[in-house]
Amino acid sequence: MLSIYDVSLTVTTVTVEDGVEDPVTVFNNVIIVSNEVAKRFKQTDTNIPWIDVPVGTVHDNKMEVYLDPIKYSSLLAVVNTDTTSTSDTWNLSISYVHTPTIISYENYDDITDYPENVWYEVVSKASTIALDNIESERTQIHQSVTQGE
Amino acid sequence: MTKREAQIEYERQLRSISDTFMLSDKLDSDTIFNDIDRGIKQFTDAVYTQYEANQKLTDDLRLLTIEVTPTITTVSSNTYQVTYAEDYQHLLSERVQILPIGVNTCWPMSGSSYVPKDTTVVECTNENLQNRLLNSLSDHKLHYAIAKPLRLRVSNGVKLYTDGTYSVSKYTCVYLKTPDSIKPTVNTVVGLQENYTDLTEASLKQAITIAVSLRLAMMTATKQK
Repeated sequence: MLSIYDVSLTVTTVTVEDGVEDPVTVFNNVIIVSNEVAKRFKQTDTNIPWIDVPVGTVHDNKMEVYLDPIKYSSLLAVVNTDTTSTSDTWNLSISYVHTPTIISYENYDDITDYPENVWYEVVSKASTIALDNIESERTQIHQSVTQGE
Repeated sequence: MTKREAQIEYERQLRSISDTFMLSDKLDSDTIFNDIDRGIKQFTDAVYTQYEANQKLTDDLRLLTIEVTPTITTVSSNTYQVTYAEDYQHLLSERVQILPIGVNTCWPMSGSSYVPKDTTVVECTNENLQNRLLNSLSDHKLHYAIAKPLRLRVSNGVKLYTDGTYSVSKYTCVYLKTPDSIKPTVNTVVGLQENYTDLTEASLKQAITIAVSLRLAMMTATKQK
C-alpha cells in the first residue's frame, strides 16, 4: 500500500418492530488524521468526544476508527465485547494506491497496473535509464531520473 | 437541553468561526464543560443585577428561583437565626410569621391558640442595628400586635431581632440559587445524557455563546503573547 485516499464506514442497524426486522444502513465518510490529532477523539476519563464524522488513523499497520460514543453506543458495545450480534453490523471500505507489481522476465502475464498509453512513457523512461547506465555517466543517470520524476 | 446537546452546540459555534476546532484544535469534553460553566457564571451574574427588571430577564433565570422555609434557631430571648442553603446566591424577598410570647389580649386567637401573623422584616446593618434596637419607635417594637423584626445579614444566613415580647415562628425567603455545574455527575456516556435543568434552553444557549467568545478571547490573547 502506498497511500490511502479514501475510507468509508457503513453501519447497518437492525430494529425489530412488531416482530419485523427493519435494517437501516448509514454511510459515513471517515476523515484520516494524524496520530496526534486522533488523541483528541479518544474516549478517556476526561474526554467523551462528540464525533459527528468518524475519524481514522493508521497506527501500527492497522487502522483505528473513532466513532461517536453515544450515537454508535450499540455498535461499539458489539465491537468491544467481540460478540457476533445480528443487531448492528459494520463494514469499513478503504481505497488506496497500491505498490506497482514488479515486472519479471519469468512472468509474461498482462500487467494491469497502468493503462496502455502510460506504458509508452514507462518504457521510454526505462530505456533512457538503460542508455545512461551503458554510457556509465553517473551524473547524467541521476539527472535523467530526477527529470523523470 | 441535555449536557451532550450543550457540548455539541458549543462545538458547532466554535467550528462556525474556525474549521481548526474540528480536528487540530478540538477540545476535550472536560474543557468544554468548564468553558460552559464560565459562560453560565457570566450570564447569570449579568442577569442577577437586573432580575425582574422586565419579563425577559425574569424568564431568563426563573428556573433558579427557590422558595424555602428554613429552620429557625433561637439564639436568645429576642434573637433568632436562620441558615441559608449552600446554593444561595441572591435574596429576592422574605417574609416572617410572628407569635406573642406570654399573654397578649390584642392578638387574634383561634380557639385557645394565637393565630400567627404574617409580616415583613426591616433590613438593617451592623452599623445601625444597636440604634434601632434601642429606639423605642423602631418597627421591631410590638404595638397593638403589629411589628416587623429587624433582619441582619450574617455570613451564612440572617439574624432576626424582636423586642422580646413576640417570637419569629416562621421565616420564608425566595432566592436565586447558584446554577449547578454542567459537568456530568459521572463522566460517562450516561452522565452526558442528563438534562441541565437550571437554565432554560434559550438561556443556556446564550451562556454557551458567552463561553465561546471567552474561549476565542483567551486564544487570541495566547497568540499575542
